[in-house]
Amino acid sequence: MNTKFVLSSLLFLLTSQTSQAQGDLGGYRPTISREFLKEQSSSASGFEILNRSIQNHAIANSLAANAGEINRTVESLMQSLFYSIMDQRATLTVSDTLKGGVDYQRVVQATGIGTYVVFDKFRIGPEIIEPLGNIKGLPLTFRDQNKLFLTNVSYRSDAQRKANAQTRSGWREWANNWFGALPFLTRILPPSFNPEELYDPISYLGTPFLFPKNAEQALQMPLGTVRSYGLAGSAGAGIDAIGRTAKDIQESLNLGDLQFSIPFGPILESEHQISILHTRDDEVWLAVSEIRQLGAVFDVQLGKRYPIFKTLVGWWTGSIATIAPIDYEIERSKIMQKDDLFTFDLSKKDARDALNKALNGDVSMAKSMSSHEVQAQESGVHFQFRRNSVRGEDSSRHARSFFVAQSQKRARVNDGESIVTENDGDTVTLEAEHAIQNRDWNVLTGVETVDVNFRFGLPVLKKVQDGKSFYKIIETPEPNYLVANLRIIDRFQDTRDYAKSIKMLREFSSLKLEQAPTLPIYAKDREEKFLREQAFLNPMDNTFQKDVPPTHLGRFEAYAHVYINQNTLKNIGRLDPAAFWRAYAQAFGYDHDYWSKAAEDKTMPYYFNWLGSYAVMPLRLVNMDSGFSDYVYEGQGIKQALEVIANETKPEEILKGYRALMDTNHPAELLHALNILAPVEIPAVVGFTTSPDNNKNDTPDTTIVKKAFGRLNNRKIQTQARIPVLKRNQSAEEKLAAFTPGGYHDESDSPDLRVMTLSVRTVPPDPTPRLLARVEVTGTDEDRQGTMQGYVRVEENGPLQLGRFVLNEEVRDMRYIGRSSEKGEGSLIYELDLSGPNGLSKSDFFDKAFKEKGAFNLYFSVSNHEDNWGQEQKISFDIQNGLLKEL
Amino acid sequence: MHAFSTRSLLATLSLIWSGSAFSICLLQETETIADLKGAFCSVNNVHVFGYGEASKTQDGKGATVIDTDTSVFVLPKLSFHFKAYVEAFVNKPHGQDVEKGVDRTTDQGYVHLGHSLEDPIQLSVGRLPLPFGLRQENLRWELPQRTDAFWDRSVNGAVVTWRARNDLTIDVGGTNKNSNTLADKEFSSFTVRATEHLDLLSGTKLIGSYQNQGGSTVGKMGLATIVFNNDDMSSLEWVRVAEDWKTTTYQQLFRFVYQNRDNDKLWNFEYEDLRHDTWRLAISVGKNVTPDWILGGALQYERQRFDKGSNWVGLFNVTYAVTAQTNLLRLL
Repeated sequence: MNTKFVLSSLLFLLTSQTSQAQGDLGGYRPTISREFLKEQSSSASGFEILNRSIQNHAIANSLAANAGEINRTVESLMQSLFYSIMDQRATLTVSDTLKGGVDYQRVVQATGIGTYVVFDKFRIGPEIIEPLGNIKGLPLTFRDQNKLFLTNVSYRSDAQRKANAQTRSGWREWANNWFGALPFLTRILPPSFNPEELYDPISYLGTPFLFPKNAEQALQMPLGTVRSYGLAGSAGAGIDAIGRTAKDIQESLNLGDLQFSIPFGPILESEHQISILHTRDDEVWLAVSEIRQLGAVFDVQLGKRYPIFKTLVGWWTGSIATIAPIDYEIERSKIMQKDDLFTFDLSKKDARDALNKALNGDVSMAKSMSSHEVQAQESGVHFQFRRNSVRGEDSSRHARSFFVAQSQKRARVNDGESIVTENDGDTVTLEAEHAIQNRDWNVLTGVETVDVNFRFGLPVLKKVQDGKSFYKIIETPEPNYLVANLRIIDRFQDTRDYAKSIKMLREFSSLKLEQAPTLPIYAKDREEKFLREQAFLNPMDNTFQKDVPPTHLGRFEAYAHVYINQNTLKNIGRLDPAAFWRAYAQAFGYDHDYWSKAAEDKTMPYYFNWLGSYAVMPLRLVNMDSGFSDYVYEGQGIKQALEVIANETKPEEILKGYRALMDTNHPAELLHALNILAPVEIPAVVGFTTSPDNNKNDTPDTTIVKKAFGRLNNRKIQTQARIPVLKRNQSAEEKLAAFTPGGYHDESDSPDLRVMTLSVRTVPPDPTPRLLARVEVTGTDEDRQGTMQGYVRVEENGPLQLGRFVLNEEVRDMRYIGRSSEKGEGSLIYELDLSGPNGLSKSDFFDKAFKEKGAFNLYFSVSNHEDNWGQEQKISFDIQNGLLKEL
Repeated sequence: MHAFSTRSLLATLSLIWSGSAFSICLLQETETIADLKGAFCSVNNVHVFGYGEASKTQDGKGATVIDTDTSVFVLPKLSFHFKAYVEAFVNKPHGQDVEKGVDRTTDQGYVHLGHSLEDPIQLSVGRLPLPFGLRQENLRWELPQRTDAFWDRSVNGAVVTWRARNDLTIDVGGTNKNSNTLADKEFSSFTVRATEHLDLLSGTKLIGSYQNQGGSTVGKMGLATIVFNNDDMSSLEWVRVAEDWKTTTYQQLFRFVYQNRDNDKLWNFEYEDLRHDTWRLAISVGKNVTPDWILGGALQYERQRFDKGSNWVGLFNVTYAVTAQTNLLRLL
């Protein structure tokens, strides 16, 4: 402990003690402190969160083309209103039959921990206007067009944005913020508005020119950035039924001005892509990918696109607001994918030369340099693996859009074969996967996402004879696991949502989750207040009668991973059918004694339930939850699938069994039933990230509930049973996922905020109180030598929750004080003046609050290296009579 | 409950304000709905206002308005409600002589069975407005000749309210052989209003309404959303009036209202768009100078679509609000 630290600590304690003498006035103190638990979530969180949204290269590169005519993504409303400024399209007519098209697109994904993935895309290519021909009067057209594309995937946080802004020239930053319009929009728009969508239009416009041409440019890419170029599009044709038939149908249905269309047709899509990822200081990864997709699509849409703001600004073409009550697409296809992955150590000349060639499409030099281990070590070029996969996939999309509220459900289920070739040989795996993504969006509170994913891999030996493939299961000491993942992200969660989320997590993992408190839906004191205020309300004014709302809690993210041993599933499959139906009924909360017999006896309720599944299908078309269980319909399929898994010996048949098992609309109930039936404990882990939105207007009951919610932050709960290790094929998949938007996981050690202490200090002779932040961060001795920066964002805490109301945000160097003696190694202490002569450049709001009063939200994150920012943390506090109180 | 008290918590002011939505009676902390037996609540306002207008038709107006919204609870679930106003005005049309006059209206006088906070089924019978859309009271007096098609006069009829589920309310109202003084004929009408309650912010409602008057195949339909966020409120409403489904000559209204309460001030922002007619922006503020006295001002801009005319209105308003609350049984 150095002298400076001792003196500083004494001064700190002295000022605290002096102020303490003033007494603890209604919970107000001169010093408040908040501890942030160390992040315990799994290292693959980024992969799991975002890889679900843009599952593969093909989808990532044709978001607009494949997502349907009307609904592009769930966020399309706000994009219609504001972000379409960024999504621009221009065409140039070349001849009567040909146009040249160019389009830009930006998609931003929040990760749930305060960071964003920004996906910019530029496409250019010809568009053939004329129909290719007619089939019984229906025009036959290209479904999509061939395009050259360039993409840029970057990771951003508010801290990073601000840090970059402070190093940029004033005019550039001004332009990045749309000449002041962006901060203004951020202030006035609801939380669903994400300023990252519009930030930095200059880099966005530069997307076509961002792909590095040589090794030097590759190293200049920010860490974690992925850039790609390639060719994608369709070589097939589709029947566009928007023409005469649809018009006739529209007339007969009397739909008013809504448009109705049923395009149907075969698809043949292909894509060739080279991607580069800057992983560490001198290391880059290069992936060469090729995807072909062959299949058929059926796409039904009913909706209307309204051009708005068309006449607002003369030169602006306006935005599109969409009403689309039905938007439904199913697709069946065969996907063939080939990926090669190389890594380059660019501190070596050979690696630089090989990368220069590879960036121009020639990977032969990289291949030859990495073919032998010794050569690879010398050159710095390493061949990691080649993965060849072939899979059959069924996918569907159900969506509806009512302008201010939209919902979308995407599901895909596939099975196939994957061969990973490494220097030491091939690994063949038969794989099955089912991914479901549910998104609900509204204009006020933004998006709520629930993602579920099942995956199973079966290592096999493959033999090809007379063009036919034969497989044999490889018996290994470590069993194979069916892995199920669930992730819930909701940035505006209330107590009712919370109860639903916890229920789903409990069913999914079968963990009791006793650490997750049961929160009352309504705050009792608010209920009583509403009753007192509205008892005399004129019944004719009942539209203005306020319901007691569930308590708004704040940001919530949770994940659950469940690992089911294949032997466990085999044992379940051999059980008596009555035992299955009993457990399955129990999982749905039904009378299990009754259903253990009824399902086998085929009683009337059995048939009613079965028929009900067909009756509610039209509701599924518009992604409406009827509340109907599908209990019998799905139960039959699951029972048969379990029997196949238990009794089949052929690998292909076993894989089909797994695919059928995981193809469910009720994943939580399925897993809960399997847990009831399992003779041993099924390994599972559940983790939470919570950030309560404390508000000075919170009632006492609301405060209690929010505190309980906040205590769940960074909690990780798991079974006694050991969590298994991922197998080699899954690790290859994770590496490839690093190239998809959101797939990259930063492995560098970013510093994390552990403790933040705010204190009021007076430095004589100046009587003005100052606000001081002292932070403890994780770090190494190396960090101590360098500069530690702190990002501070101060927002108004008040009744107006709709906007962000940023008072100031700034990145500052922090003063190193010393090591913490209490927290052990790796905890460094820094200080930062928030107000006063050395305080933030704009801090008059703190001075005003010391004189009068005021409440604030303070967001903080720390960085030990350019762009290497730790998780953002938040503390809400109130200032009254010169003292502080944590909210 | 107060033995007898007069009190005004907060009153609002819109452009030409009338109504009493923000002066309210309250139950005491220990009281419940059962304590409403014998309760009397009367919210009254005296407004003095004047405005100047720069338009082709109007120069200005001054008026004094007294309004009342009074309720008597015979039992907690049997109550009488009375709402009325009287206005003495001086009007100055453009290029014409000054007009003076007095208007009186009884908006509501009905009996209500059930309590809106507790009972899934309620019935109101008497003189009342049929349930349709939001019925923003503070906008009622603005440009009555244009909003008439979108504003229902009170009728002699009945309204049944059914809280079908926790998140769904259905109101059905009907009237028979009511006089329509504007059209000089009798009319029958029924309305249906469905309200979906959502857990967004401090409470959000989606409201769909339909009205049919005898003789037309369609009538009036509307969609609205109202969002509460702490003490703020915003609403968006769409109403279409048409004679049949395929007509292109329908009348249509879009209206956005945002109210923000900041301590003792109430801000009101409003945008209204009448199809093929006008669009209008108005901003107003009311401030309590004492608990009973409110000062306010408003500014409105209106743009005519056909003749490209623009109207400006500036308004000043003083309101004295008196709320009387007591329990009649205790006075006996």
